[in-house]
Amino acid sequence: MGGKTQTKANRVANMISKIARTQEHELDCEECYEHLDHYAEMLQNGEDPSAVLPQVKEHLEMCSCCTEELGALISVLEGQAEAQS
Amino acid sequence: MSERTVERTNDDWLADLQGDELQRADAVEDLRQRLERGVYFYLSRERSDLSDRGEEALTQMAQDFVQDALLKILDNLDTFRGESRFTTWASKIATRVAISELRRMRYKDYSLEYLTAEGETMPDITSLSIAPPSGPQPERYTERQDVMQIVGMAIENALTERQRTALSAYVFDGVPIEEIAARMDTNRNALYKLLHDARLKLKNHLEEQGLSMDYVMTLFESA
Repeated sequence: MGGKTQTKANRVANMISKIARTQEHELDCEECYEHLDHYAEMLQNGEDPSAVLPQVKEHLEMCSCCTEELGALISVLEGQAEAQS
Repeated sequence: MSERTVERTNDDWLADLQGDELQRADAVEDLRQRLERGVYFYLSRERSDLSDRGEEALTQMAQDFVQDALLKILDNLDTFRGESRFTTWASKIATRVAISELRRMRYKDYSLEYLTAEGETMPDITSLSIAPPSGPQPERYTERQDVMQIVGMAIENALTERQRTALSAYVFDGVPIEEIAARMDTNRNALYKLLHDARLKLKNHLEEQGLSMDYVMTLFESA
């Protein structure tokens, strides 16, 4: 997220680990985005979205941008819930 | 704050947002307040990079992001598929607007030029040490360096110029893919695919060198 800065060496190690886990077919960012609200809600409800949306999970593991957006979305939803309670 | 906020079902939201002028104005205002609370919460709690901005500046920022998002939401009501609560879907759009704008601001001075300049080569990935040799398993350090060297060679020999440039910006500079895309005259989705192709090529290359992917994963997972 905003505060977490990865070092270059971390990012290189991370990339090599991603290379090893690369699948022939992966969802792209738009396909991931389509399901992101559903995914976030399942997490909020304490459910495991990887069973229903395994490909979204795979994309999130590969894409730091979509992962950042999921984290931000969960925070935005938390902020709404907090203000209402 | 807004005591009068009514709880709406998904159908209520859609009906109200497409209803008569009064209904619509009411629903838009409720949605706006809700999204502003959420986005402000995110900006003030999660973004340490914005901690030097005052409450007023963050409030203004949240208002601006939500204003842009509302236009997108109202324009795209027909794409809501009901897989989540309407407000979660709307929050997703507001989040994307906010994050994209924050990325634009953060990387406004970033240029790919040094990566694409004539004769410029990719920074040498083998020159980066991944973990101090004094770690729990010092022998792994040498193994990692060996794999990194193979990856470095593969990046140089197996990738196209564009793949190399994008990968360098992404890995070495940590630039978000949509910002790289904007500088390479393409879009985020296409850039993700370009990087995916690059990863596949590198994976195939490593396998051709006789490396097992399980081995590579264990080597680098904890790094």
